[in-house]
Amino acid sequence: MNLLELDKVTKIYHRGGWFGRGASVEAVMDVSLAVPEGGSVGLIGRSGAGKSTLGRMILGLERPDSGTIRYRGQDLQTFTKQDWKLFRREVQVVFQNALGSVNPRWPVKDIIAEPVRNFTRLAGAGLRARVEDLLRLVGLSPTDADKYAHQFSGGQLQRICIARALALQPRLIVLDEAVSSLDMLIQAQILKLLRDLRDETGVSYLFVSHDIRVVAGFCNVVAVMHQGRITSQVTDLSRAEEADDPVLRQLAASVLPAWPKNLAKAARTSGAAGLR
Amino acid sequence: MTVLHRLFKRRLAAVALILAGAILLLAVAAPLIAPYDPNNVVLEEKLSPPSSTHWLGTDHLGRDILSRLIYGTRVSVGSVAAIIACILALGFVVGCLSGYAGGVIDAALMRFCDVFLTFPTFILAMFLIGVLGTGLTNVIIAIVLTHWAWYARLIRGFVLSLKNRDYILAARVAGTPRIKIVLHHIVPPVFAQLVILATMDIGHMMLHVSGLSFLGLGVTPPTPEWGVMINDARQFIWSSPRLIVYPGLMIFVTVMSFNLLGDALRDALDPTAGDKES
Amino acid sequence: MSCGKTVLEINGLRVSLAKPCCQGPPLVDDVSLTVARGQVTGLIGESGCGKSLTCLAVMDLLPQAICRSDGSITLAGAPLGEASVSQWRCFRGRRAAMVLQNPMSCFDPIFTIGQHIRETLAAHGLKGSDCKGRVRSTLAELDFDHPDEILSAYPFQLSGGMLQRVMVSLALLLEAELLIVDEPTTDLDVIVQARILDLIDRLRREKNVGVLLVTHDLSVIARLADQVAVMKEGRIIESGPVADIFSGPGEPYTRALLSAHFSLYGPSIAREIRA
Repeated sequence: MNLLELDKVTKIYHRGGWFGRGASVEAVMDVSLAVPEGGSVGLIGRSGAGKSTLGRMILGLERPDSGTIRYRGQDLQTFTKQDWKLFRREVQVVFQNALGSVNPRWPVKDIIAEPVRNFTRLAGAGLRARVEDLLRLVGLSPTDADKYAHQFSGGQLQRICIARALALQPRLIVLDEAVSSLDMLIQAQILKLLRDLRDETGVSYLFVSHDIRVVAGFCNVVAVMHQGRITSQVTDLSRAEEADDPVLRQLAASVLPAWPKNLAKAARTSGAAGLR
Repeated sequence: MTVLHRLFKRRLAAVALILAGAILLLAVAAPLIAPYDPNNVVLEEKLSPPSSTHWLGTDHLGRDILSRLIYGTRVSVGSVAAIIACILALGFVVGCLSGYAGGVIDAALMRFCDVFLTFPTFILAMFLIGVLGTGLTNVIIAIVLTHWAWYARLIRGFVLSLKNRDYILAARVAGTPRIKIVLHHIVPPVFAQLVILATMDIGHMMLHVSGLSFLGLGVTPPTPEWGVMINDARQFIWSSPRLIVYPGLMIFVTVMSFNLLGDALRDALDPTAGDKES
Repeated sequence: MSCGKTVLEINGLRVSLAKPCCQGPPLVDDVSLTVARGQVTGLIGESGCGKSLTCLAVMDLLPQAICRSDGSITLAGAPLGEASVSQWRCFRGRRAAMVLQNPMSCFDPIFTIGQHIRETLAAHGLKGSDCKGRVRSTLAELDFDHPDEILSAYPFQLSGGMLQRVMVSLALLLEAELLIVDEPTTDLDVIVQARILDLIDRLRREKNVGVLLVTHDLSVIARLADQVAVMKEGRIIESGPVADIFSGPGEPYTRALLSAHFSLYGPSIAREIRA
């Protein structure tokens, strides 16, 4: 069963003020996409392709101008207060800018506890224990709970954001370029963490990225987005360089090599080059 | 580290804090500190130079200048406190509402603010006083009316810049109700900014009150007030310049110490400052 | 042109906090590097390991609280520190150019690109009408389709990738011998990334420019570098030709970096490294 379904979703931004119409920008056009229960869907494209706008609409932060977004079969537009409550419990987000997505005036324990406080009666020692569990889950120390955002590195902060997203055992997490601005080592660690969490909890991911390598090893289905439209959806990226979709071809061709030139030949002959 | 702690770590900030504290103390404890009744006229002693009985001398009516300065603090600080409180309350509510609600509410409130922003303080004060009569209350009303809109706009801008931060979006996704988002995520940083702005503006407001009093629009003569004192001393500027220097100095010191305090607060309230290196 | 000639030589560089008098624990310790003309030397490490400080030390642009406490830097045969500060600045500006991570903050928003270029060239004594033609042809060379539009544009009207190309064009106009590139690909989308790297590659081949490439991304190194130095906690722990580092990393840290890098490309490549 599909957890999330998008049907011909469109969002158009209008520029200009009260008088006269400015130019309009078609941020998202006729996008149809489905995220199955327990599946991971990648959404790739260049910056400005409309990926983040789509992500915000899926999170219910913005309304589509037309088309429907259905969560568990129900249209977001017809949600009652109770439905929203369930939706907020089950759908979470991790943004690219980890430092910007935590309140700089709060200690980590409050940042992670925010969703828990909203949905459970947990408080005091119980809440503290839950926060410490979550910190351990993402590979941080329970003593980090009393520190503030500026005392952490980017990678550690992204772990804190992931811990917050996991606090309520969500069913779907939108990863909006969640690893793009992290160092390679940290990127690999975070990806492994996300993979382990998927295996343990069966959570679904919508992985928004501009880097084909990141989603290739991570997602079952990858949708390619260009100028607000989805140009193709593929399950196997190993032949992306020969794909029919020119956008996908270009993205694949821009992937930087794994090996230096003079070694690449040797690696290729042993059948190890390219994406999986 | 607490804010006070950080404040005291800088020498200039500590000086400003102590000065501002002393000024507040003067205002509150004026009857206990002042050696004479500020309105006690002793014509035989008029314009006497500083002596052991009158430390700063007396004015043209023989009133003790030190006592008048001390009581003057009361009027100046009290009126400024009232002005700031009114401006903050109005500006905060309108600014937050306008910034967070957006849309039609925002547009309507901001046009309303624009109307107030067009009035120059002194002209409006003169108009109000012409209608309502002279008096400190009317000066306060005039200053509040011409300044609150300015604060409302600043606060709105600040709320707008916060509203689209990722952490506000993350809070919405985490299911935090609107009202809690405003109270927990938006009000504290806005308030910190406001305290700084208001502290810096205290000096400015004090100059307005004194200025209007100097023009004879605010506090009326027998009441001790720095602006009034300067106005009174005008005729004796050549014979006894000290009469004009003392209240002028008081205004200068007060304005400066609150400005410095504002500067220091800005640094101290920044959560990332201070222990970054450790 | 003398290929293989050393353009930058850093020897035993140490950078520490200026207080108290350069005696604090070093932020960069005993770093030695060389960059030859027409070659790319990659400097790789995590954020905060001292990569950017090394670059700033070369450009003599260290922040006030930080100073170079030991070691020598020789740029195009002239050692840093012997000439007066202003002489060095002029020399350095001509011989070495820097392309920075956040190009938007490197331009003054109220001046057009053309004004920026003119000012920089004038500072190095390049003026006149033939200059204008050169600016245009250089921009055209860097794949700008309409050089005149770029010249009259303000920085905020251009994208991050375009501004980086403008910075590269300045290096070209001044005929710099050394190009320092600090994290050229962070925050750019993949296609722009690939284009910038192609451009640097072309410069190195056609103009014989030496490049010091600072990055955290091994795929950037794989794409461009001839030599690699691996930096960790302010020290260079391993260096050598790029092929050697990729095929036989000596340090466990380098191995960890490589396996993180290969894990992005799927299991077949990752297995390769373990074998």
